[in-house]
Amino acid sequence: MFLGVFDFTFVVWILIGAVSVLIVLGAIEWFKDAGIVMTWWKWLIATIWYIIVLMGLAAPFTLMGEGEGAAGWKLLIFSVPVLVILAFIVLRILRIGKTKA
Amino acid sequence: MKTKETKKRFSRRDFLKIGGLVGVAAQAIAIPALGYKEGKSSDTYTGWEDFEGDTQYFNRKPFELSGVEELYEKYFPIVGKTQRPNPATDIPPARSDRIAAALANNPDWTPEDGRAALNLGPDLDAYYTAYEARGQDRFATDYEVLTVNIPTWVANHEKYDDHFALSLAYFGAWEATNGMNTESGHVPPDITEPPEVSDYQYYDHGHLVDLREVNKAREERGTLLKFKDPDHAAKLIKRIAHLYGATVVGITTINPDYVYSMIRGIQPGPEPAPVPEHWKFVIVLGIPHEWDQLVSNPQYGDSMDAYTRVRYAAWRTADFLKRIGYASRWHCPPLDYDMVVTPFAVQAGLGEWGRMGCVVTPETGGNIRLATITTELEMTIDKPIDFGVTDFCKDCKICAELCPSGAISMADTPEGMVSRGIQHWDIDNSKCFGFWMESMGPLGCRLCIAACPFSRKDNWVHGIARVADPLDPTGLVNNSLIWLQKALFDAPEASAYKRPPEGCFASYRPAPDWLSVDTWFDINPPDPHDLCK
Repeated sequence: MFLGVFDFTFVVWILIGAVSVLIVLGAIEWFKDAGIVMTWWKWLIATIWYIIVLMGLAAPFTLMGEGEGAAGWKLLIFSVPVLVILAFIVLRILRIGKTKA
Repeated sequence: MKTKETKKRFSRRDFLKIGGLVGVAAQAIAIPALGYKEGKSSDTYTGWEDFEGDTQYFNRKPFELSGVEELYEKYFPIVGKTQRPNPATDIPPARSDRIAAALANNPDWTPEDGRAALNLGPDLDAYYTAYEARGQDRFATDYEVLTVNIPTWVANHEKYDDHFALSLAYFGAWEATNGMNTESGHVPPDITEPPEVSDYQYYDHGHLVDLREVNKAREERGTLLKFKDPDHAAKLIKRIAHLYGATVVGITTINPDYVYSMIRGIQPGPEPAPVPEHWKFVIVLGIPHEWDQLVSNPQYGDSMDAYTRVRYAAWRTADFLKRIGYASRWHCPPLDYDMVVTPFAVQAGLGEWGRMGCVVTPETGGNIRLATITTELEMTIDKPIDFGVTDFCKDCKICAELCPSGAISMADTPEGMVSRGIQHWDIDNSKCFGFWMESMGPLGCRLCIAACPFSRKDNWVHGIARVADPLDPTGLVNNSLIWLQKALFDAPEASAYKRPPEGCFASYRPAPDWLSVDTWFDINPPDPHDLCK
């Protein structure tokens, strides 16, 4: 509920969708600056990685919300290093065929 | 006048780059917050959020077996002479009562005199002998429960019940609405007439009506409520049962092997009461416990919320069937029932038979209480399913590891566990009942269903696990989930749930605030946990 009137979650999801457009447009510019040539499969890998990051952040907090705080913290401590390692691997893949910036 | 360099500092490209980063930061905050909200959401309390039937959301079709025959051939092979269950021997409190009566008749008896000297009766003697052959001395356990556990349990309750005042009040009120705590008897009333009478009768505005008379009148008017086909019948009954509160509904045929030898309304005799001819189909209804109280077992939770709700849902559904002209009878543990309900839920495809002896459904895991309706109405039956529980249970063993009484087997497979001629997971119900007579708060334990990995709330994290496990033929997901379950979800070890000195009345999870007296009252009643400080 938002201000005791309606469920705000729906609006948050709309905003998240809008922000996602901005993130993609921003990413295009960042990749250009970094001299990374993006192909369809690189976009696919980057998108999957980003979804895994979001799920990796959301899952521990979902467990905390359901009352399993200890499980949530353990999962967070486990998932953050995994996500960082994944980020380096994905970045290496994205740099394949990199042009000079 | 602006220079060229100044304009460059805030170009469209810079805006997008900075905006993208801000967006990432915003999502990094919003997504965990939404995850937290999802975890708390009342929508995740399956069976406690609505009555529209969306609670039965799992698509069972891909996991269906060919039929009941395959279920019994592959999963529950008949390996001996089947025998109908006998409530006078198979239900632990009934055995306890019989031993107590025998001890009253033989006040000088001591265990050294042997069981035979107690004259328990041929049926109970045969029961104990059969389990002794399997290495289980159930008589010794039942005797210990009666002479040690129950007196200690009574003393502990007298001393510490105020600590559990909210639990006792909350579940006491559920019990009151099924008649356990009132002078007026059970609600709905006990069935005292034979099935050939009571299953055809209902009350309408205070008058007892025989549906056969109503059907006759309808037939004369040309309005007999004969369904177009069994599909229509099944669809309507399921819809009605959901509207009456059932979380899951399935339909199967009668299996006499699971009908008790005693049937309500029929005078018990030396032979099992005949299974009525009009009990052709069985509608199975399931409703879970409220989830937060469930995980506070074995000390703060209770079964009566789910049992009372499913009892009413079954009563109403049976009554509805009678009013449209079909003989029916409702059955609901723990008070009024003529059949072991779990096998019928498995037959009806509501779930699979778990290691802990309870049905495990895709929607609610082991957290489900069942009622059935036997009826003459022909309906399309549901097929049994295999969505991976049987295999999962073989490896998981969490319920067995945590069980404070050791009632649940640690064996790798149910091979050799034969109950009344049929092989399936079996529990030592003497030990199970023994721990009921140790735990504090309301009656019983329920730790096994609280700890079952399938019993987690219905949020997206557990939803992915539930979908991924049955779809993975390699077993990799299965093993990963078991590892994650044990690595992430801590629980007190088995002995911690017991009374001192072995344990200290631990709970799987703390009591929810609404069952904790400390949250609401400035009182300091004796706390049994203080015994261990």
